[in-house]
Amino acid sequence: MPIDKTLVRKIAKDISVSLLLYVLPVAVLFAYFALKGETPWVNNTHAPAAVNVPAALKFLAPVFKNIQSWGFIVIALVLGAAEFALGLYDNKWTKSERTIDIVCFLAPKLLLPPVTAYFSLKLLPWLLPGLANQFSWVPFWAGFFIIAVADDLTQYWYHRLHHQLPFLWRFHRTHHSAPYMGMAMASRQNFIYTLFFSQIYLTATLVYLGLGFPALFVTVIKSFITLSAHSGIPWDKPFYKYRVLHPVAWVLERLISTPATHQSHHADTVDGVGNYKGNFGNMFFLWDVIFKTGIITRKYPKTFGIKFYKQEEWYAQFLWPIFKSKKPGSELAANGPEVGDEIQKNSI
Amino acid sequence: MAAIRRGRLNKNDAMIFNDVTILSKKILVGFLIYLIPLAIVAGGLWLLRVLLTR
Repeated sequence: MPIDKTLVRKIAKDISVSLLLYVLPVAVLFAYFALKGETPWVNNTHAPAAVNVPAALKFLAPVFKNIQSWGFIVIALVLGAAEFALGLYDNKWTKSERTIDIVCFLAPKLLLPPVTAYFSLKLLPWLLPGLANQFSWVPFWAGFFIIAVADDLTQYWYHRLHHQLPFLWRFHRTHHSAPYMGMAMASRQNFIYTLFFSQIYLTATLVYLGLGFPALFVTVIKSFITLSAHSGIPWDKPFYKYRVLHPVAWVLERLISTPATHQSHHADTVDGVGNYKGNFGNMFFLWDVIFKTGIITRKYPKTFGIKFYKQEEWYAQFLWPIFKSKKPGSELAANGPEVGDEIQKNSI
Repeated sequence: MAAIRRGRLNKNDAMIFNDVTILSKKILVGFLIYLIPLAIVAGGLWLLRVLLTR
């Protein structure tokens, strides 16, 4: 499936802007040290970066560690139960969808930690010997800014390219095949898509280089935002309803992903409310604002999913192209069509 | 192979060369998306240290 040349030019232009965005936090840190005349790396003992942080953050660290390890599982289960109680899944959570959601929720939690642990504890020390905690002199605020931009902008590109490059689409299709929004589908991904998440390895490398403490805070805040953006509960509605909250809403919907902007990304139409060909942001929606890939409507789509969905088997959705679907004409079948994230013309 | 014998999978379901190509291209794209920001951030912090130490 050929890629539109205009799109290639737009991607190239946006990548150039992104390179500057990656530099930005480091440039701010440079200006800060230059103005203050500080050189904290001199005589730096390469101690972990938690040494010079405020006491409040040290107090919060174990809380965040617990949230990261098991807290999100509990939060997802509680929120999911609330969504069911509110009837947000209608009768769409069929046996087939249930199986995919449960496999995608559980399997990566068992299979991914050994991979990331091997990468962090074995591969990085082997590839970058002697560089552990090399940048532990970076102040917490700067580390937070660096990781937030590096991690989330990287995920934005990983996500955007899986939509815009047709040969990548089928690795991300599983996340969009759910005909509903909510905790049930928040973790629903093809395992190969999850396994090669670039930002996981980028952040792990920056942790190895000494930015572990800020990374803990960024990853927990990011998980809260992405999880809540996938929720079927429109928690952002009051911000649009009450006039007094409009200034907050204006900032919020441009800065982070909300149910309104992210549900739009999961809609099965492009009708002014649905925008599955945009709204790619995960933690920050700001990237969509900068690259003009997002729409903000303060409305919620009526239907979700993909028009080419054939209720493919869970194993094909979880592990394509290792396992293929038997459904005739499916994108995930052997020799299935490569349609990208296009929608059927009669659905527009 | 056992699954193929039992009739759960047929030979058409197995990974073919085209799948390996797509998978390799996918891993390459992911690797570049990892490496470019890493080079900018780590290289930037290294350069900051070098320039301000002078």
